[in-house]
This record gives sequence, C-alpha cells and structure tokens, in this order.
Amino acid sequence: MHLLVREPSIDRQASGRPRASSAVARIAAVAAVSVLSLAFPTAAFAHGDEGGVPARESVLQAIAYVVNTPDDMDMITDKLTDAKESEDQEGVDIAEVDQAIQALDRGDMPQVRLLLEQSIGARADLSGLDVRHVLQVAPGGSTVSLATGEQPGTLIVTDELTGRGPWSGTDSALIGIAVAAAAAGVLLGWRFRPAHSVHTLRHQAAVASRSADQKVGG
Amino acid sequence: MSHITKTRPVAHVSRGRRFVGAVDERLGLDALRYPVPEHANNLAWSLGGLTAVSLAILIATGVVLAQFYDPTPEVANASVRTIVEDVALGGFIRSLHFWAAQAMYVLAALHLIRVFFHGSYKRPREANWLIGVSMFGLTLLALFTGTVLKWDQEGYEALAHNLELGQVLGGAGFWFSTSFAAHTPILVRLYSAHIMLIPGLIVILVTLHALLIKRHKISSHPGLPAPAPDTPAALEPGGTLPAPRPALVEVSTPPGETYLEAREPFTHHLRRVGAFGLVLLAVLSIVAVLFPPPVGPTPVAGVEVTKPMWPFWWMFTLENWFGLPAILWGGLALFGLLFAVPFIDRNPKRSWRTRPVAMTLAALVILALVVLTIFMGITTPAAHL
Ligand code: HEM
Repeated sequence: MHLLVREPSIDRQASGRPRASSAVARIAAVAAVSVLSLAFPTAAFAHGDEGGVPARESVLQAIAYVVNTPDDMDMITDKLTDAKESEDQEGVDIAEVDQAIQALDRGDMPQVRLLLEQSIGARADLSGLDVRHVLQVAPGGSTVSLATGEQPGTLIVTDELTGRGPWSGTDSALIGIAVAAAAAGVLLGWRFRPAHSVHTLRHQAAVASRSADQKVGG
Repeated sequence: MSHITKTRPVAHVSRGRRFVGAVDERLGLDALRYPVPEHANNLAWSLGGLTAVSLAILIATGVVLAQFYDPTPEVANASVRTIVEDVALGGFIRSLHFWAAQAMYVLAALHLIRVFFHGSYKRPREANWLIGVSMFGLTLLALFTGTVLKWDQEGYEALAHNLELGQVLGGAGFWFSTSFAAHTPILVRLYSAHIMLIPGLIVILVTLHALLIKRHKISSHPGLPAPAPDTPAALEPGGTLPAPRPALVEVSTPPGETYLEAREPFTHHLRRVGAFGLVLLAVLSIVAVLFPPPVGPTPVAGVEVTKPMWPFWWMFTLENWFGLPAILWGGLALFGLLFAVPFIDRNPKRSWRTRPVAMTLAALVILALVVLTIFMGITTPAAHL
C-alpha cells in the first residue's frame, strides 16, 4: 500500500543542502557547549536552498523530530516551513500540513503527528507503537517498488518500544535459573581454583631457587 | 590374547572414563592436555576464554534471532518488535544477544590490556597479537552491523555515517556504497555480514589463535622471575601428565630469561574458564531480564537525533570536534597503533616495572579513549551529514 513507497535517499540529503561548515562545528565543539552544537546546524540548514528538497522528505523529517525530540520546536517548525516552500510538493497534502502547524502552535503533538502522517498518505498508527500491520500487506498489494540501497522503506514513524514491560512469571523463572547457575559457577570456580596464588608461586619460586643453590640435584 | 585383556587396567576404569577414552582415541582430545602455567587459571589470564564464551552465547542467541528477523527494510523494525512481543522468550534472547555483544567487546578489550600489561605479545607470540587485534576489530564491526539491523533511527543514523565514510574512502569504500549493488537494500548486505562474514572470520581466527596458543604455550608470568638453572624439570613438555600438585618447572623464554613455573594441563584452564563462563552467562541473563533494550522508532533519512552505542562514542566526539572523516581517521589510528605494537616494541623485557615508556603510552591511549567517551556521554547529538 502507501507504506511501500520509494524513499528519499541519504545521498540526496547530503548533496541537496549545505553542510554546517567544519570550522563552525569545530568552534562549537571546542567550546563544548551542547546548545551551540545543536543551534549551528539548525541555522545552516534553515537558510539553504530548501526549495530543492521534496516536501515529502521534509514532512517525514518533521515527524522524526516530533517522535524523537518533541521539545525541539525549532527543528519541527523549520522542516514544516521547508515543506511548504518546497518546489516539489508531490504526494503531500499541504492543507493538512497547515493544520499540523496550527496543532503545533497549540502544542497538540499527537494531532501534529497524525496530520503529518496523513498528509503524506501513510496509514497512521494511533498507538504509535505497532508497525506490524506493515507485515500484513496482501500479496501483490504493493504496486510500487520496494526499498533499495539505503532507503528506509517506511513512511510510518513509530514510537520507541520501551525495554522493560511489566514483570512476568517468565522473568522470575529466568532470574531463578540464572541465580542458580551463577551459584554453581562460583562453586565450580572455587573448586577448580589454582592450587597456588601468584603470590604463593612467587614465594615458592624464591625458596626453590635458594634451596637449589644449596643442594645440587634436588 | 584374552589372557592379556583380563589383566588390562582398563577393566577397573569406570564406564564414563572408558567412554572418554574411546572418544579420545578417535578425536585426539588428549592433545588439549598440553601443560600450561598454573597462573593461567587466574581470572586475569582467563579473559580470552571468557571472550570466547561471549562469542558462543552470541552465536547461540544469534541463530535463534535469525529465525524470526526479516532484513527487508520495510519490515525489519517490525520484525524485531515481533521477536520481542510475540516470540516465546524472544525478548530475553534478544536482550541476551545485546548484552553479550557488549560483554564480548569489554572482555576482548580487557584481555588485550592484560596481554599488553604482561608483555605476552612479545616474541614468539607477535602473530597471535595480530590475530587478536583483528578479532577485536571484527567485534566492533559486528557491534556496528548489529545495531543497524534493528533498523530504527539510531541504527539508521549509524549506517548513514558509515555510507559517508565509505565515500571518504573513495574507491576503497566500495562495499559501503549503495551503488555497489544498486538493487539490493544495503540492510540485506549488512545482515549477511553480521550473521555470516564477520562471525565466520572470527571463528576462523579463534581457531588459529588457539592453535598458536598450543604452539607457543601460555606465556610465563613476568612477576615470577626466579632464575634457577639447576632446578630439574619435573615435567618435560609433551611428557607425562603432571601430578595433582603442580610441580615447579624451569622455563626459558626466547629472550633468554629463565623462570620457575608450576604447570597444569590446559584442560584445567578450560574447566576454570567454563566455571567463570557459567557465572558470566548467569550475570548476563540477569542483566538481560532486568534491562532489555528498547526498539527505537522506524527510521527517517536526513535527521540526526540519536547517539550511537557507547563503544563508538569516542569516535563520535572526534567527529564533533573535527568533522565526520575524523571517525575514520580515529579508528584507523587506534587500530594502526594496536597492529604496530609488536613491531615498535622490540624490548624483550616483560614485567611492567621494566617498561615505563610502554606503560605510559598505554595509559595515555586508554585515558584518551575514556575522556572522549565521557565527552560524548554529556553532549546532545548534532547534525553532521
Ligand atoms: C560476532 C559476534 C556478534 C556480535 C558482537 C553481535 C552484536 C549484535 C548487536 C549489538 C545487535 C543489536 C542488538 C539490538 O540492539 O537489538 C545484534 C543484532 C542481531 N544479531 Fe548479532 N552479534 C554477533 C553475532 C551474531 C550471529 C552469529 C548471528 C546469527 C547467526 C546474529 C544475529 C543477529 C540478528 C538476527 C540480530 C537482529 C535482531 C535484533 O536487533 O535484536 N548475531 N547483534
């Protein structure tokens, strides 16, 4: 379906906009002020020839900021402005982008994300977590080519699936087995310990060399 | 004939022993019982073995993951979520793989430091140092390709950096260009490297590493210098097996130093590594249950909002300071230095006390890596691509 769409490539990204100059990056880094290191690229990106970047790409990037760094309003706004000013607005419903900008002003982030996903024709996932329906495209249902090269291959940006869920019986069982294994390992490690510590060996070697000096043969 | 058979001591040996004997007769396992110094059974000298245990855990869990993982870009991230949420014990296996990977990296680094500290890379063991450094590099590559596989924002950004570095390398970076195989997603190629090429190479090198250890034996302890030319050897290499209480033997090293040493069969080293390995597996399992890794958002090209996995942080501080190619030059510099160690340091002395220059340089390199790593830990990700 619309999920399996050709994606913007990193190469195009890289060549399509000026890089933060390395001198600027260096100064920022030496100052080691993290705020600066974020601000400089922003400035550099915002005033490039953004018209050449397809709007769909900018919208996707805006969604990525909404998901990954929702507090970074500047970046989100920049990307949406880029989208609106882009010369290539194919496949983007700009009216929905406008609504998303209004939602952004209200601080309604879930709505921003939903509108943006819809504006590029992705089937938005309201839970923000589940990408598995991507797996359920009917055979032959994909009419566009699959991702090649470094294309990410998806239009939906999910939330992070957090590591620890609620504690389960399996967790307890695993911990129990692991603790038993650790105890067994410690026990065996003790049983198989070397007969002498390096300290004893050093001492023994010294004694042996002394006695060897005294009686030849031994 | 039958008369002789009746009197054979084998008749009194337990069934288990007879079985081991029968297997040994066919497979020559007895070759593993070559004598090694007793100090090899200490933890510091078992770090190499523990690195191998981590590799074994990675291969076992990796094979399970590979049954459910799908390296197609459209669904790769979804398939990792499926492993975590729908596959029985999938979340645990993935978490164990994730933590064992870091354990392997840390243990290999500690083993390398131990070998450096004790001068164990010196003649005649230079080749084994080179093999070890190669395996350490391959471990980093496995960590890198592994993080890309989950195809989330973090993995994708790591890949984007790598593609850029491929361009810095020009023609030499051909494998890391998407034009090399334009119709294949690069994820699929990295997957093949992660599950076949890299572990395959590591296994081949581990085998060579072990054979060379047998050839050169485990190095003597530089802290046990007791030249005693008159002490008789209770044990000749390749002779009878040592008595339960290890005897002292005289060992000469190629630089002409003589040591006294207690010896044990290598199988005793293996069995102690096995005990330590069980503890390692148990601790990693507990960590895996308590701290499973998340699966990040599906990736978007052209943004930089994540940090790489911590083993790469020092390189990314260099990137923040000097620009993207610094990752490449930094990595090459470290590994160039590691490979050069046995060629630069021809001093036969092995005790750390007698090698102030080597010790100072090593301390400086380690300090630099730690400081660069900490720098990355306290900065926010910034765009470089
Ligand atoms: C050589 C040592 C290896 C290292 C250092 C290593 C490291 C890693 C790392 C760091 C990840 C990402 C974990 C995560 O955050 O999810 C990963 C993922 C993966 N590895 Fe390995 N690995 C190794 C060997 C293997 C082998 C031998 C296989 C298969 C035969 C394998 C199969 C996989 C699969 C299928 C994934 C993707 C699933 C996932 O991301 O959870 N690995 N590996």
